[in-house]
Amino acid sequence: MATLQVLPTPKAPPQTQALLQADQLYKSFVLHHQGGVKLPVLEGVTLTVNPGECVALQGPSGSGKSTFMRSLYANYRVDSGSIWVKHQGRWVDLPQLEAHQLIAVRQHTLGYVSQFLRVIPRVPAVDVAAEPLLELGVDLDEAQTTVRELFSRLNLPERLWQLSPTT
Amino acid sequence: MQPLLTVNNLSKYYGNLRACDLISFTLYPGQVLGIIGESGSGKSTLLDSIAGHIPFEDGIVEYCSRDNTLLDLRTLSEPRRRKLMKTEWGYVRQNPRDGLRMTVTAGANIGERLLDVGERHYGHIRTEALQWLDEVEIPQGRIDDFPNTFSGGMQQRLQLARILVTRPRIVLMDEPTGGLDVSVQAKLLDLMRSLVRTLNLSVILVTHDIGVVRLLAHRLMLMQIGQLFDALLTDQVLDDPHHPYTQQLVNATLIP
Repeated sequence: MATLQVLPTPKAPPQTQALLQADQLYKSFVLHHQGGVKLPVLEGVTLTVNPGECVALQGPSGSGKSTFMRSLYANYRVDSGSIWVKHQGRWVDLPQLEAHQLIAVRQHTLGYVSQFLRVIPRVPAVDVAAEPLLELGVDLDEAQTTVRELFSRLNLPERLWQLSPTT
Repeated sequence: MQPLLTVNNLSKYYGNLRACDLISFTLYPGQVLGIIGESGSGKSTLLDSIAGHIPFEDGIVEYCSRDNTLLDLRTLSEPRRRKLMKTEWGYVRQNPRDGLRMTVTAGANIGERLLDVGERHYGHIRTEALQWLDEVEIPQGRIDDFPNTFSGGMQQRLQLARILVTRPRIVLMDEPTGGLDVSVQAKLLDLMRSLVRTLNLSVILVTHDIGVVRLLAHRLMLMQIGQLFDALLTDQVLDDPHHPYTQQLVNATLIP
């Protein structure tokens, strides 16, 4: 049975096979305690990402790569523009979402791998990695099994699994 | 998703002093909301107003109860409010001695709450108390000891057990790790994190410690002089601070 695709507001992206579409992102920083200086970093950035694609952002230091990445995760808040993400079959615009909706998108659809892993120092790696699954209601044993399989695939030595990632 | 708690334009005045000025926010199930502010910002007053410990002048606090009825907490009768606070809500006090009964044993502290909600079987009560001591990582052998023989950290964990035994849906916490040394704090925060997840708790957590909110809170609100701002996801507020006060706070933190 065919299901109706409900498109969001008129600004939604035209093609539907893409999974992410950033439209005209503008982002600047205002440093209130350093003379109120304004730093424009993103000026009208647009990007479309399709399934199966690996997109590399390349550029000199300070060109806005990290700012752009963090904006795509809604970690940084853009001044204007849309970040369309295909979440559970529907387009959602991250800046327009409420907090609980954004949390859901991050739990189910959008992941972020940072070079700076911020973890609680005392928790074993296998538990750190299992936590997002536990938050989705997955059983503890099943979550840990999934994590162990992934760790093996990613060639993480087994002797490190019970240690904190800060080791 | 239906919000669990809606606070709309809550205002609390002491004469001309606006301790809480038009505070509005929504809390959803399973969310931890942190409120950060310096001393005198109004955060504890806000928590006390929401919990009904002090009256407030203006605004609405609406709670969706376990049986799906919308309750206006301001107009709720006192007996109903007290029943709610014992069954669906919990309040963790900064000083555990204020939240515990020091003259009865650890087991009795937990069991008392079960008696409050009609449990009468001594065996069941004792079993449940033992389970909860285990849950908060207090040795079960301490069940018949008095809380004044416990360390500060253990007292705080006992307070948690006492509050969680009735399976509340919302827990209000006022500086729960204040006054505890760092390693004890760490243990308590780890415990709270896993309990929030396993019990699907919603928490409103008042603190002045950024490390605590980074670890526990999904969302963060900042309060300054009775005013609320920056009610977004914790990482959004701390990694991309917009408001001058937020920037000041983040820059002043010793540990990033």
